[in-house]
Amino acid sequence: MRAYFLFSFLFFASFLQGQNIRGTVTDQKGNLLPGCNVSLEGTYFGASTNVDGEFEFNAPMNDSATLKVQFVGYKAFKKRIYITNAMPAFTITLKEAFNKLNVVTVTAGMYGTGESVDAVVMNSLDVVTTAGALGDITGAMQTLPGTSTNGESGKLFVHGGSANETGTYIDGILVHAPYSSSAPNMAVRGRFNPFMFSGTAFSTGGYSAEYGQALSSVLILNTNEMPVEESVNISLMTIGADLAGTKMWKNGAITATANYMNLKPYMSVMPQNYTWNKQPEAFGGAINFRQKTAFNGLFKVYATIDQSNLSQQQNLLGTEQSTQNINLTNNNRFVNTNWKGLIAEKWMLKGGASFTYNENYYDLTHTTLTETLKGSHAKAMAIHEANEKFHLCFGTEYFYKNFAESYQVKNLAADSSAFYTDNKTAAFAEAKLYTSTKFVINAGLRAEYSSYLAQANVSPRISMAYKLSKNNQVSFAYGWFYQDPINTQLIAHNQISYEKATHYILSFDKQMNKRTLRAELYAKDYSNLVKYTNQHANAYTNNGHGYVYGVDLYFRDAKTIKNGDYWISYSYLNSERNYLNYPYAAKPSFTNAHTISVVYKHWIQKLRSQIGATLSLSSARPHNNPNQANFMADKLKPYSSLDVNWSFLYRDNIIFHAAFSNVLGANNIYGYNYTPTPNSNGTYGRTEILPSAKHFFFVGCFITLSKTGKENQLDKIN
Amino acid sequence: MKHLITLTIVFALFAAQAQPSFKQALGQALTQYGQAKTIEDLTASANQFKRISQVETKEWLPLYYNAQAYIRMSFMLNDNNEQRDAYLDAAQKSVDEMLAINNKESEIYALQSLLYTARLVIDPMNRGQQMMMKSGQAIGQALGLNPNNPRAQYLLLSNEVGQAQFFGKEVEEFCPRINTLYANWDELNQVPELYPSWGKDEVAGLKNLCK
Repeated sequence: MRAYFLFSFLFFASFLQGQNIRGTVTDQKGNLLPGCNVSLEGTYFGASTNVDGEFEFNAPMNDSATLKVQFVGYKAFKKRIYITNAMPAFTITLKEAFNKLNVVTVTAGMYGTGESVDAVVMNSLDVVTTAGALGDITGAMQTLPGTSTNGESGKLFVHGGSANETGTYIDGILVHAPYSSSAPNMAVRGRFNPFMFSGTAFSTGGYSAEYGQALSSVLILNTNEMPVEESVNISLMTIGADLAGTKMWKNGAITATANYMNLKPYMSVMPQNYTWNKQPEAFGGAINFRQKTAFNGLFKVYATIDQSNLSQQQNLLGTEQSTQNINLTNNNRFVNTNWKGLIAEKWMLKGGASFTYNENYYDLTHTTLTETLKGSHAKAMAIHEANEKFHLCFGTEYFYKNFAESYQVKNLAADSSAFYTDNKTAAFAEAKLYTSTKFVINAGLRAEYSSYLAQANVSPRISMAYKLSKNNQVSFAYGWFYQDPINTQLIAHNQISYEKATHYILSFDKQMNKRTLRAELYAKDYSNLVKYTNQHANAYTNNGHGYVYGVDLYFRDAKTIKNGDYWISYSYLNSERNYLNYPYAAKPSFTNAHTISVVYKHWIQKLRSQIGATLSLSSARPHNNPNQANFMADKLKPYSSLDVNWSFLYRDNIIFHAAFSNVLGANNIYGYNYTPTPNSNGTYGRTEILPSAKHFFFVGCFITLSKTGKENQLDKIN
Repeated sequence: MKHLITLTIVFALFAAQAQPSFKQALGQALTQYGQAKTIEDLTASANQFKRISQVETKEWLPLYYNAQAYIRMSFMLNDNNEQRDAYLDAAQKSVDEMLAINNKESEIYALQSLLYTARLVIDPMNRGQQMMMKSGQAIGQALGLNPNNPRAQYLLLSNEVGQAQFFGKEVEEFCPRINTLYANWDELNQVPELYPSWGKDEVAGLKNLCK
């Protein structure tokens, strides 16, 4: 009896001490994993692995239990075990989980800002603090590789494509008139305020089948989601003023903006290269409405209305009168609505529609010209994440476009007008498959049919990425891209077809802590480009063709210099085309071989200031000089500009911003206008196309009034 | 009989040791947490709180300390910003779980405010404005639920002082409020057992700025 008691006592004593559970945790490659949480499921018993990946704990139980090992970024490991004394050590291997942090993403051609974009290289603030960009989204994008500077245009020229080859999308919906209107050879700006967008993605090619009607590039803008708090924003600038207010309610918010710009005071003080009868003036407003809905959804409306006008004196060469006045009035209305929500588990539905009305009215000395564009785009798409390794997305679209031109000689009753209307339907589907966390492939197909062209097109697209190591990866993208010929060609006749580009992109990415390196090799093949010998002979064909190839390099470093952040972009490209009225294949005037941008930003805490500088250099662009025998054989001067800016945080709600462009005063020439006929010596006279002024100087004050916590910041203004 | 008594005691002891009560387990974990100095110690503590939270799915306190341990870890690293954000992602996950259990607890919003401030510290240049706003809003929610929460009061003062220093202003104007909070701390900080009670040392730190 005594022995039995002693035995049972010892038995329980050993129980009190518990059974010893120990082991080692590694990843699939055999690397030791410290910090894993090891436990017996449903109990408090457990331990963390030490630096050697080892764990050890006692559990006073004598039964089967579930041993569980958890670690961030890995799938939870579970094993049914029977707890006995003298259990051998466990050897546990954790499998990497699929999550956004460790899964490979396709980055070929993609440059993004904001949080939702796969390859983030700039954030939203960068758009407004990049010197030389002057708060213009397009301007900021021009500091990224793959773009060419065309000062007389101000638009985005990507990978040797012309400006109209870049499509702009807001919340997935096409924007028909993304730029402001300006006199010929005067740079335009993007219509949209960068503060309206939480994310900007810019693709230099190889983009998804979701995006059509863009031969070279897409600029994808996503409007802000719910604001954090109600506020009133006031901007006072040397060129005008903005007023914006945000009102919030339980599940929604509305932001209303009004703006007025008038360059008269500024241009009266600063020397200008051109004579203005009326300096540019613009007024407009925007409304941004957001409402949370059923299905965890969000409904957004973004609407803008703008009117601008200007009158400029331009030189006319080789005619009796030496100058002519160009009066331009632009009216633009734009509405974009969209909704997205989860209609069922793993099924997301997105839909939207936009309407654009854009009218340019040119009043010249003897004639008037009215261009009217009415455009609409509706889209519905579903995204199905069948499982973590397979995603499917498909959708359908409808585009409407009506473009009209009306030309009238003054004092004559008759006018000549023309228009075309196109109804386009499209469908697309794309599948994404991960074979592991290291390899992903996207395969997509897009089809379009245009009523005006009475033709269909089908474009396959494919992209893939492979992760070489934790911080290094390679991506490849290939695809066919179709776009309608430009409005002025389509209005002339409809016996032409889509223009086509084929993209090949190979890119290498290296991500280190606060440092990014991107190297990209690309080639693009153009076919079916519109070609003619005489613009008015209606002899348009699709016999034009061309090619582009090049290298893009991008390096961003926010680490090496304390409080400093810089990026360097370099692009090399070589291109030739035989299209439009080109007599033979030649380098187009909007392409140049070498482009470099260096952007630097530095925060100075003592001055509560961020200073920035951007250096842009471009090698000479070709241009056609009729005095030379060969076409496009002459070259402009290389372009250079050093721009600086300074932002000063006066109070937490008052910011002063000053910018000065072309500090060094480089004499940039954007091109030449030639006389239509040679003079008596047989030469064509010419005048330079210059920037509107050598320098641009800007000062603004931005005030935010809001309630934070209990405190009203209104009293901080005095 | 004697044997029976011994056996009963043994059984009782066994029962006690087999699975401590929630309070015992949390108390033990807090003792260990109180001694944690290194990232490794804090990871072990965070894991321990996580284990308790996975058993006690209706209790927010283990999640609170789990999140707090991760926030402390993010403050301890200087250079590795990716890792700092990863710690804060883990902390945010626990805060979200806590809010699903109890969305009327002032302390949770106070911790959420601290988490936003920790995000701000990682990249003040780019995150300053937004995170300051979010942090302020969370303090507003914490004080709305319990105006006497001393930690929320401290965080509000700390944000205001930080902002004043950033704008090169004197902190003197905050000293009366700092001194009052310090003087009233023990009275305000009468919390149930195992509840968050930290903050007095931090207020003392603010007090040192006043001369």
